Amino acid sequence: MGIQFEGEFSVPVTREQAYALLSDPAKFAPLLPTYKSIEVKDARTADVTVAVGVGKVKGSAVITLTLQGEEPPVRAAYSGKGKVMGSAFDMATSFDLLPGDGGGTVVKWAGDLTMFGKLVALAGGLIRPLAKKDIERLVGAIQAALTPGSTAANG
Amino acid sequence: MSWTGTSVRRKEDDRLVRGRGLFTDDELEPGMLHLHILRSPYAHARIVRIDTSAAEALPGVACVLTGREVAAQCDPVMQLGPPPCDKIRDLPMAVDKVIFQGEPVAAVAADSVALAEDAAALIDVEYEMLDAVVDAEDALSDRSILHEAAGTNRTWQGVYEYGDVEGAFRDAAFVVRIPRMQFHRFASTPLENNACIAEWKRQGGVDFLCNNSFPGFAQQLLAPGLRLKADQVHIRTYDVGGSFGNQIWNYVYMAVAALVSKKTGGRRVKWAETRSEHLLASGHGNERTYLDTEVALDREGVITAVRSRHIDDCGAYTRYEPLGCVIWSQVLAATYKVRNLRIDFTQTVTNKCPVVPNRGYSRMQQLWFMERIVDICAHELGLPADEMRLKNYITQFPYETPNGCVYDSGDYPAMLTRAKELIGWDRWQKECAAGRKAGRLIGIGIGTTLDSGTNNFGQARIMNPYLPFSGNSEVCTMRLDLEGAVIVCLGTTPSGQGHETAASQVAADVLGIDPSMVHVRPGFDTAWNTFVGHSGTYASQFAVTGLSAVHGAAQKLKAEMRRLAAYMLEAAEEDLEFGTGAQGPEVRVKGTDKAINYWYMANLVNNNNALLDASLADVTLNVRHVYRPPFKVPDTERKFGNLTLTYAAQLHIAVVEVSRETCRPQILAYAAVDDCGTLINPQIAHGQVHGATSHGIGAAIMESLDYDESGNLLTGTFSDYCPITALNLPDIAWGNIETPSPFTYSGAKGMGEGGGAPLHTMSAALQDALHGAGVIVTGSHHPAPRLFEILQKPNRAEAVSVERRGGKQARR
Amino acid sequence: MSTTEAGGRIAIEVTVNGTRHRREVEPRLLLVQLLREDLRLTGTHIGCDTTYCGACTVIVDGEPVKSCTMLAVQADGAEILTVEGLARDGELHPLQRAFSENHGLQCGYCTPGMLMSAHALLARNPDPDRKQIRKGIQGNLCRCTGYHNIIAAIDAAAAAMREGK
Repeated sequence: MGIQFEGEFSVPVTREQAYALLSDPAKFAPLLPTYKSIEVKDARTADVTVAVGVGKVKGSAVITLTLQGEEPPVRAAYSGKGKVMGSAFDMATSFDLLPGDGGGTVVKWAGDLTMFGKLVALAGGLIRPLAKKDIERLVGAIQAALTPGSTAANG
Repeated sequence: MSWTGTSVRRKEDDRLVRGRGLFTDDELEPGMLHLHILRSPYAHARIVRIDTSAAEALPGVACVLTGREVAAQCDPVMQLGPPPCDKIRDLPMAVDKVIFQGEPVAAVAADSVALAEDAAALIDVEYEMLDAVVDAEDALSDRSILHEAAGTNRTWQGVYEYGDVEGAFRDAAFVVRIPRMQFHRFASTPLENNACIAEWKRQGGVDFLCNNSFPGFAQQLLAPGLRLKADQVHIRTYDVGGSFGNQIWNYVYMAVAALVSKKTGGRRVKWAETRSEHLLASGHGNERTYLDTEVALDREGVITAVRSRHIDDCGAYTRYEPLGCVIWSQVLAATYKVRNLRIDFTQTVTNKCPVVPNRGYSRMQQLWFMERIVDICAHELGLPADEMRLKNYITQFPYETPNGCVYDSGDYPAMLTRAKELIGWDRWQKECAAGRKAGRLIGIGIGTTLDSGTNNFGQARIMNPYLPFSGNSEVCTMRLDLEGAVIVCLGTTPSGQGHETAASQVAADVLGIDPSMVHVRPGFDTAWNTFVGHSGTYASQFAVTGLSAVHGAAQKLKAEMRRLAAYMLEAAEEDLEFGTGAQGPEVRVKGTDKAINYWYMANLVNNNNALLDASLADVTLNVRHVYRPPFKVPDTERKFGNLTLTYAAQLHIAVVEVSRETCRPQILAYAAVDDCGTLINPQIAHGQVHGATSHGIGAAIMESLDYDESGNLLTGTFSDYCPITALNLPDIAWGNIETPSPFTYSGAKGMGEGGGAPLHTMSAALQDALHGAGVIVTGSHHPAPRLFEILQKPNRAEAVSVERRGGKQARR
Repeated sequence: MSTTEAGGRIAIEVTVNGTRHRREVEPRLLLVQLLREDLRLTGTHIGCDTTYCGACTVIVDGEPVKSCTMLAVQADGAEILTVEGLARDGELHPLQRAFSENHGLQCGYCTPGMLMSAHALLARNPDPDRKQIRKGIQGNLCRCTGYHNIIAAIDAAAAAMREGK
């Protein structure tokens, strides 16, 4: 089961500032919704633990997040692999950074999530809206983190 | 009186209604290990790395087994197909890559099931995803290949051509073209999941208690795989909670359990599959796509030729396949007399669960295809459904089909008449017509089908000429035990078909005693019982193959008892009669009170033999009989020969209405008529008919194994798969006719599979209901969402075309 | 009957087919596992893992329960009836007799659960019509019989029980 998402948003910081956050797994990962903990492997790779819940099925997932195919300061991209409750998912996400109005940056993002296993069968119909909601939360968190003075916390 | 034809109450029932059956998972003892299998979440992926250390460190875990160890200790299972199937490596566990979701990747044995499951969750497997192919035509493009050594996903291709197909199309008055039809994936899902207990023996070999339903075959596959002699693979079964063919394949997991037991130094290891595992990774029924179908008809609507291209989707491995590529040809033209046919048959692997024989295996798909053709032609040419059948039915028996099969007996018109009476055909015809005028989506449909029983394994050579299989056989041993009781052992593996009862009826008839005096020992045992390579319960075998063995054994035992009695009673053999006297079953001199009872005969042979003359040295009162049906090896070049001994038939009629609001198909009336020749135990035979009907209705409107484009099974629990319940099944009017088979001693025919009659019938009834709405029924599965879609986008314009060649219209 | 923690295990007491049992069980142990594995009453079967098939149906304090969906600790203090408790002094219960006489079973795997659901149905409604019987066993799958003879068997048993046979 594959899900694709894309969109864009603006932040009032420079591309370099945006890139610095988006290209550092240690800074980026905590913005993931339901983030629980991180184990940084190196500058490009981290194992991130997030809480997962689909209906009454609850557990946690470990995502191995790898910075891949980045072009400073115009593009940050990650590939991710995770497993949860006998299921697995592969994801790819990218952020293209374009100059915006007033010295800000327009972030064009795209995500591609493919799920495998029991969870799809058990909760296939629920995953799409849940994933959409989580992506919206992630985008909100990134925007907040890149907006100086914002008090909006993660999620 | 004759016990054959009597509904003797089943011997099996007493233990089963008390909850005292012995199903494999019921066996439990201290120290037994429990197996849990870690399965791939991916449909197609390379296994990069497996780390089992955390699992192995968990207290209570005895061992973890991975594919690499399996590959080192186990040889791939024999492939039945010709090249490129010989390049397929089918091991019981994935080694370098997984090719279907749920394929075993590792196995954990621990002190409890829960612990084993906990440990499996700690195994870290790194996968590298590969492209999955889940659609048969996509798979045949070979854009992503499952078995790389084979170089292609195509596992078999062959053309079955008979008669003068070109000539018939040239002379046709009508040519009906149906570009695409599809038979869906489902399985009969016995209520008992697969299970086995394995114990690797110190003296060499392995013992199994399991619910495999074709152990004669399993032994032949397991022994070379486990690098053992066949007799070292000791297989036992006891009570089996249904099979429907699905339990033939579970030798794969038996091998895993055996290797785990070996690794633990011979501890007993139990594996009990969960339902989710069963749905995900046991065995599914074959899917089939029918392309470019063309039907030639004469002016009257008689079908003169059929040509088509069939693609069978067998899932990830060719476990029992590509046998399905030939088995369908047992019923090439179904119940119809068309003699010119050309079917181009191809099979492919896909990244889905492997298929296994499923009730009606491979024939049901062909029968549905032929029924759709007949039914679509009737609707498109404006011929009444019943008349269309009557014009085309075979009516002379025995009937040799274009490919050399011999239909033993039958009377399809009489079955149609009976079914029409049962359902009230004329009344429903009027109600359907009036209802449709009023805007209701209501229709009536006929499904005629065949249940071919006692197959000729020689047909496997049509698929692969080098296979060392032909004929068929089953075995029975019968003896008088030390106290004179009649003891019967069978080579069959019943899973609800009442073999203990039916066998006792047959033996009782031969010996002139009561079935209660015949003790049929339940359970199959390769070490202590008798069996042959064909032994098992599958393909409507028992009524003919199994019971002919019982009949032959009883006659052999009777002949020995007659000789012994003649000597002891000093009488001529022809003056003796068998029956029951004051001292139990006996042999007596006709018209006298001189008799010898079974106890004394057993005593003479076993404990008291100085009283016997040397001429009786060969009398042991312990006989074995193997029944072999009269088959020849088919002509593999022409794909011609008698592939099955008997042809039972079913004819069903359904009245179905599709709700305009919910699109739910509702069965308003249903009639089912069966003909399986002479009935041995009518109650048991009828029970088989009921069960097959229920499976077919479930498959037609509820049950489907659906995959998404990545190879995720979407109907992986009973709550998603929705097997049919008592609430979904209508009341059914049952009927029976008997056309005894001239080819069997009793006139009985193999039965029980049911030929998928409800699938054909439901499709036909829906066709009748929806034809006015511009719908052609080209699929076999009709849940409400699918009916909603098709009613939104009626398909008639693209699903069918009729070429009229200047002749008069067939419409009446 | 109070439950106490003992090394992660919980002490429970259940009465099954008239016999009292005390056990210390893991909190995650299912009632069906307690019956089959600890008490060795293997007549109660397991056919699925989503509470769909009903093969594990038993009677808990008078109510039919799918014992795969109840934890053993939830059954603490309960009176439980399983298929093994239906026959009295070796004599088959009228339901068991009727299932056999009407060929309401083939492989026998669903039969114990089916019998217990039927038992609960007839306790509530001694004279059900066919539709009520269908509803009464809608939570029990049978893959062999097509239900026809099961419905006939329950009907026959109900009649026999009303006549006190």
